[in-house]
Amino acid sequence: MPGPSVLAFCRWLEHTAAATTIAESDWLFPAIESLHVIALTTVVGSIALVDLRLLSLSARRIPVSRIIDATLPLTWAAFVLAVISGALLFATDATGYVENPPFRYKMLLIACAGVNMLVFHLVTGRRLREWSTEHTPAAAKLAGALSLILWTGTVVLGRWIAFA
Amino acid sequence: MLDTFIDALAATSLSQWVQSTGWAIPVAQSVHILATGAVTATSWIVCLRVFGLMRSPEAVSDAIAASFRWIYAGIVVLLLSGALLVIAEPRDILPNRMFQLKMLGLLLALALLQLYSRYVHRKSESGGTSRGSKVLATASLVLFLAIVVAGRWIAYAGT
Repeated sequence: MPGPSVLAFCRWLEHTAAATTIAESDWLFPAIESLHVIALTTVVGSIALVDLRLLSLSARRIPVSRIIDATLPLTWAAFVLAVISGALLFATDATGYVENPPFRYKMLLIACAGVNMLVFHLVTGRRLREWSTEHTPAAAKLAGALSLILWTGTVVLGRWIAFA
Repeated sequence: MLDTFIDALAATSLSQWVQSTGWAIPVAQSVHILATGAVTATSWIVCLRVFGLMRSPEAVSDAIAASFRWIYAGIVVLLLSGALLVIAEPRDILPNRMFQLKMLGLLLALALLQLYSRYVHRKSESGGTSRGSKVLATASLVLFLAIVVAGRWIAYAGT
């Protein structure tokens, strides 16, 4: 369970002008939710295109580096939008979300997906541009599989927040 | 007539099963969101490429043709998971104004996609970044995003 300082922060967050405005409005919450869905589906969809290529399940003729170069700006832009919209939704009921198990696991999975991506960019994919077009190394396939599992889990847990 | 259909649908054993199984609806919704990812991400990519805002790893028309396969595959999964969600709660969903608007948008999107597929096929030699391609790519993206928004609002809209 969250510590007293976390709960104090959450209580403060809930009483900020932004949080109360969203919570009291009839349309702001669903509007921000809509932006969150657009952003997160774009994040997951664009990452999946790279993951499927790492697993050699699609676009095998195109080098991995070119797919990453093409999709990464879109992924980051959508991720920033997902974080901002998600933070606004969180602020409306911060103490509720912080104690909601699916929400906590969702944050954990996003952190794991971040570590997986960092390891890929710093270690596994360091010589990305030298890989042959046809085959990707086993470590790259593992990174792709992990990423697909972690992001799928993130979506499932996100949906489960409302049911917990 | 809609009421008779709704009652018949709600009485099916599939509807009863989904309603009585706690995890069925969130699982179907999660699949629905993941399939939405295939459609929205690909639609963004098509649009950004057509406008020259994204470096394309292959010829633009080839990339668009390949993207259509993801969009169509996504739509098939969306229809299946969406159908299950309608069967689960026909009384709440079928008369819902936002759901009806979403279905209208879907029909328009499918027609637009057909038009765009044919257009890209016909124009494949010239690269597919003509004004027509830009209009079709933008219209498809806007329509798909509007459908996503309508889908989220079903939970808030009345009948």
